[in-house]
This record gives sequence, structure tokens and C-alpha cells, in this order.
Amino acid sequence: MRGFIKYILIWFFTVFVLLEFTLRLFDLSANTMPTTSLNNDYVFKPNSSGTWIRGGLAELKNYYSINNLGYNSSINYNDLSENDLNIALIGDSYIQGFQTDVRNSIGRQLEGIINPNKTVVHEFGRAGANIVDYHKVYKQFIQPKNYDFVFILITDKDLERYKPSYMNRGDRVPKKDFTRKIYDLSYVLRYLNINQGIGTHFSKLISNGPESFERIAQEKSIKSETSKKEYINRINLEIINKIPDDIIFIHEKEKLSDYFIDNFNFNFVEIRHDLQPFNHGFDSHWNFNGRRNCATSIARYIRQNPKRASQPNKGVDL
Amino acid sequence: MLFNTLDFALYLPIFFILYWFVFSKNIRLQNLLILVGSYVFYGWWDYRFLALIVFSTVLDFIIGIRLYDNIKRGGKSKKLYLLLSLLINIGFLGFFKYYNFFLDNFKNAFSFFGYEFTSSSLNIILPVGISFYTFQTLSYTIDIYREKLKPTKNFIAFGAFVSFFPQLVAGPIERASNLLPQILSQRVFSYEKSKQGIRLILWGLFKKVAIADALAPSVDEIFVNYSIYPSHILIIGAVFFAFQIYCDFSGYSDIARGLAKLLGLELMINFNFPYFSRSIAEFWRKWHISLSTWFRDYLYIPLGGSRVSFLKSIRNVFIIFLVSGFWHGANWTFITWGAIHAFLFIPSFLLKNNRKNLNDVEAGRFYLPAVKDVVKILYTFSVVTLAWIFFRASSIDLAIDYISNIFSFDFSSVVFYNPYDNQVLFKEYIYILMLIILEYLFISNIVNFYSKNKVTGLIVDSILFVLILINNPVSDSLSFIYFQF
Repeated sequence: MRGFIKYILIWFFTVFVLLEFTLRLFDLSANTMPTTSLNNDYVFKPNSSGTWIRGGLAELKNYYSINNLGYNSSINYNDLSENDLNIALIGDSYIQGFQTDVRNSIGRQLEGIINPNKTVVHEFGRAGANIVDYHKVYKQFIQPKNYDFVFILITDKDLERYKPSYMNRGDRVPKKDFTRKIYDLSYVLRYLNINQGIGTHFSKLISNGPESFERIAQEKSIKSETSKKEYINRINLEIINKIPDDIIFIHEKEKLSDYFIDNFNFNFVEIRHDLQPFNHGFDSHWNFNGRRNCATSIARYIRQNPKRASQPNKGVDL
Repeated sequence: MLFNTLDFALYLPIFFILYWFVFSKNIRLQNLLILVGSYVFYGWWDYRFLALIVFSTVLDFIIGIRLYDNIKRGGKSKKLYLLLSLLINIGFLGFFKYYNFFLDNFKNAFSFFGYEFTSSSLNIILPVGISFYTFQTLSYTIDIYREKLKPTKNFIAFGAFVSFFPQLVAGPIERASNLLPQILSQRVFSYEKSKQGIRLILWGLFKKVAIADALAPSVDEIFVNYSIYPSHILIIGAVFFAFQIYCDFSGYSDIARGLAKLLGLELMINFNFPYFSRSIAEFWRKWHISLSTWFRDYLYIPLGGSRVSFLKSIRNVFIIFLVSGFWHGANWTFITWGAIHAFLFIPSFLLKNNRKNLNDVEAGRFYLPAVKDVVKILYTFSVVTLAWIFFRASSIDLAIDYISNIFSFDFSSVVFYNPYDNQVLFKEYIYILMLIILEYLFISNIVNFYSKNKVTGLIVDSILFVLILINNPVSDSLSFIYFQF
């Protein structure tokens, strides 16, 4: 038995070395993206760039670029030009858009569709963000400037949150202790944890099962007609009421309750999936087509409502 | 629990440590661990269906003892005991697997003659592995009936035999005469055997994860949208399915055998490089061996086998192939698949050359097989692959359509993208080629699968593990195809 255990240990060590070599050689492992605290917001380190990798064989491998405000965008967000049509997009990981090259983001596609030379789109996307974050983004970045259109991508789940996930959360940058440094250095550990999702799976395995079932049941019940009262009780009305009514909510049909659309005085744009969005099994975010669909739906709305722009006569051919 | 999941990767070391470090000195406790561990393994999927296995185990345990007592006292009621076991076991199998099939076909038959037969189908979940453990317990009772086996009075050992987790849900279908004596004897840890076990587990996982799962999305796409694809893509779809089902099922069997070795037990070989067969008869000696020998011993030979009149022997061949097809699932596609194999087998049966090619393919000059053998292998693989289309298709009409489209000889230029990663097919071909080359090296004894060279063994095991890790699909692990049977 001792010989067998010795063999197993040597074998695991050999696998580790071989896998580390393979992952480095073919660049298959997820990179650690540097984070920082900027004006009390927990964001990706401004002006950094790299490759965002996910999947077992790096099926998703995209160039990303973090701009001056810590958002994934190929442009920096400086003062707005009065001659341009200025659009802001606020949302979660779908707007953040690591699943496609940053140069093919919804914003860049939207600029291309409307008028590449006279349109500027600022994307404020952050994975896991919710309605509280969106409101804070609005107050901090949108309100001081004069955007012509402000769109927020929204789901029922976003409306249920009462605490921000990253805005004004203070210094939450992980401490670089020894284990963290080892983790950052090792392609194998990052590959197993992020690409193969072992960390997530393990935490699911040890998390409280009945609680999870209860949560799933609650999420399902949101759709049912009988739970309108429960829906109202669940969503963050305080924040929703603070959101100005010139905001336009973008949504997918399945992800936002009809009750919200019918009973709240906002403008809504439903994303029409004219092109077939392709998703990897392990990542349900939109690919190029999905983002194109989103951009096209927004462009369609802008063309139908040109007068909503602060100065409709900017010369932008809508 | 699936072998290709993190759950199992955590389960196995815990089980191994308890088995060899905590309970190794007490065989009863070791067997109890196998029993409880197997129930946990099975219950991970759906604990409610554990009741079926427990019931089946208790039933055949009691019937086995009573049957043997009866035989000792003259055997007047022995047929009754056998019948009871057959009725209940096959009754369960029939209800869960075939109830809706028979009901739908009765309805269709009645409506054909103008009668209305009103009865609604039931929403029945097929308990995973029911066909496998039912056949295993049946063979136990039948062997006692035939006085080839003495029943055990050790319920824990018998329970461990029925529910032995490595082969519980997809075989090999073990005979009590092989596995039960091993379970009843003291096991001794063997370094060599355990290393062989690890090699088999890795080889099985490689076939499942790197090949079968990689081919699955393309196969699904081509079989669903076959009407839009030209002939060569349809051929690729059929060939991919041939390798998918082989790697999936033989991969499971290899893992099962490897796990058993780790626990000091030996399971029968279930696949012996079937795609290197030079005839259909040889294919069936090498494909799902535990099932084909089960049908041979408990159905074909009792029917008289080939030692009856000419027509009856033909009938027996058809029965065994049709039943084999029907065992796989309650669908006419499986029965047709069985019938096709029967038709392919009959010529060699009539010419009495079905016992040819008893030895494996051999390496000739430059380590290559003889051209004659290559031609025969390619022919056999082609007809087997054509038959697989019926096995994979959801209906006979669809299978016929699929084959017709292949023979439309439309070779228009279409680039096929694997729906999983949206890439053109490449690594799929590489892995299939790798499999063919490696299997040829093993079958022709050019390379020893269980190389005793320590360094070579370590390198092979490490490469296999790395290939499994980098090819593991990140989305939910795919189930083994044979779980549904």
C-alpha cells in the first residue's frame, strides 16, 4: 500500500507539472484580472488589458480592455462632445461583455449601426451588478453629464437586490497573501478553479441543499400570476422609484416580468433575437450575434424616438 | 453519481480509504461498505429507486435459498420459484421500461382494426441501470435452478454483488459465479492490480470525456438536422456516433473494471476491440460481451441454439438478436437494429463460418495488418455503422431518410461547425485516429496496455489524466448513453 500511495503522489505531481506546461504552452488558463478600488468603487484596474479565457480548451478567448473608469471598453469615458449622439448603457455581465472581443461590444456595434463618426456609446457593465449598482452608476457617471439616451439592461433578479455588488463598496481588493500569490502564479489552479468551475461546484456541493431548492422555487414563482403581491414585496421599490423616467429599460422577454412592464411608468425595449445567438454550454452569455441583436434593438428604438435626444438636430442621421 | 464528475472524484478516495484502511481486516464490514457505498452512489441520482434494488435483492436472496432447499428435497416446486423470480423481476423491468411501448402499440393495433382502445400512457421514469441489475439477479436464480450455483446465506455479500457500484448502472452484467465468490473471499491489496485499475479508469475516462463527449454535440446536431446536410456530413455523423457509443459504453466498462481492480476484485471484459472485427460474428463476440453471453447462456442455448432443425436454428438467431435489440430500449428502432444484425449474421451462420476469426487481428510486416484483414474490418465497420443509424435515430422513418440522404451522393461544399465550440472539426479526427492506432497496438500486442516499466507507466497515466482534464466539457457532465438502457 505504501508503494501505491507513493506512486499516486508522484503521479499527481507529474500531472501537475505536465498540466502546468500544457496550459502555459497553449494559453488555456483563465487570467487573473487585477482589481482596484477607484473612488470607493471596486473595479478592474483602469487602463489594463489582456485576454479573457474560459472553457476547457479555451473555447472563449477574447481581448479585453479596461478603460479609465474601470469598465471593459475600448474607449475611455471623458467629457461628452455636444456634436455627438451620446448613449450610455448600464448593465451586468451582458453589457460588460467579456464573451466577445471588446471591439465587438454592444456599444461598438451600436455606434456602427447608427453612425460610427457621430455616435459615442459608454458601456457601464459589471458582472453581478444589480439595480442598486445601476442607480449609483447613474448618480455618479450619468447624471453629471448630458447623455442623449440612457439604457439599463434589467432582469427580475436585478430588481430584487437591496445592496450594491460593487459600487461604493470601499476597498474590497483581495489581499495578496502567500496562497493568493501561488494561485495567481499557477495556471493549473486557475484552470481547475475558473475554467473547469471546480470551486463553484464544490461550494454548491457543500452549500445547504434545501435552501437552494427554496431559492429556485422562489425564482420560479416570480413568473406566476398569483404572485404579483409577492413580486412587489420582493423588488426594491425604493430604488426603482428614484430612477428617472427618461431611462429606458432593455430586457429579454423571459427575464423580466410583464407585471413590471405593464405597471411601471418607464420605457422598455425588448431585445429581439433576429440572429440566432450562439452560447457555449458552460457560459450562457450572448456571443457576437446576441450582442448584435441587443445593439439592433436599441438602434431601432432610437430611430423610432429621435426626439428623446437632448438635441435631436445634432446632425446624426438616425 | 457519474464517474466523470467532481462528486465521484471526491467519493472515490473516501471510499478507498475506508475500504483499505478502516475495514480491510473485516470482510463483513468491507462488504457492508460496498453495499452502503453502492446505495449512496445509486441514491445520488434518485434515492426513491433504491427501493427497487433493495426489493430485487431481498427477493432473489430468499428465492435463491428456498429454491436450493427445494432442489435438495427433490425439486418439486423448483419451477415455481424460478417462475416467481422471473415474473417479478421481468415484471418490474417490463413496467418501467416497456409499459408505454406496449400500450401505444396496442392502441395503434386496435385503431388499425377500427377499435378505440382508451388508456393513457403513464409518465414513467426509467430507473437507471434496471436492465443491468435485473439480468444480474436473474442469472443468479437461474444458475441455482440449473444446479450450477449454490446460493449464499450471506445477505450483505449478496447485496454487495447485486449493487456493486462500479458496474451497477451500465454493466458489465456479472454472473454470480464470477463475482460472488470474490466478494465472499478476503481481499488482499495488490500494488500491480491497483495500478492496472488506475490505467483502466484513466483509459475509460479518456474515451468518455475526450472522445465520446467531444463527438456528442456534432452527432446530436447532425441527427436532428440531417435533412439540411450533404452526404459526407451525414457519413461523418454516423461514423462519429459509432465511435461515440463505443467510447461511451466501453469507457464505462473500463472504468468499472478499473474500480473493481482498485477494490481487489475482477470484472469480466465487456469489450474486446470490436471495431477490429473482420465479420459480424466476430463483432458480436467482442461487443458488449457480458450481454451477448448472457443471452447465449440463458436464451439461445435453452432454445436449442444451433443444435436443432435448420429453420429453428434460424429462428433462434433471430430471437436472440431481436431480444437483444429490444433490451436496449422500448422502441422499434432498437428492434430494427437487432433485426439488421440478425440479417447480417445469418449468411455466415448458414455458411458455418461464424466461428472463424477466433483470434485477434495480428501485426504483419512493418507492424501493419494484412490487407485482407483491413478490407474485412472496413466492411464490418461500415455495416455496423449503418445499423447504428437505426439505433441512434428517434424513429425508423428518420433512420431510413438519413440513409437515403447519404445515398443521394450530395457532396456539396458545406463547412460543419461543432455546436459546442463553434469550431471546424479537427481535434475529433485526431482523437479518433489516436484511438484507432492505440487500440491496434494493444490488440496486436505491439504495445502492452499494462506496461510494467515504471517510468513509461507513470508518463502514460499522467498524459491520459492531462488529456482528460483539458478535454472535460465545462458544462454539466454528460451522462453515459447506456444509463438509459
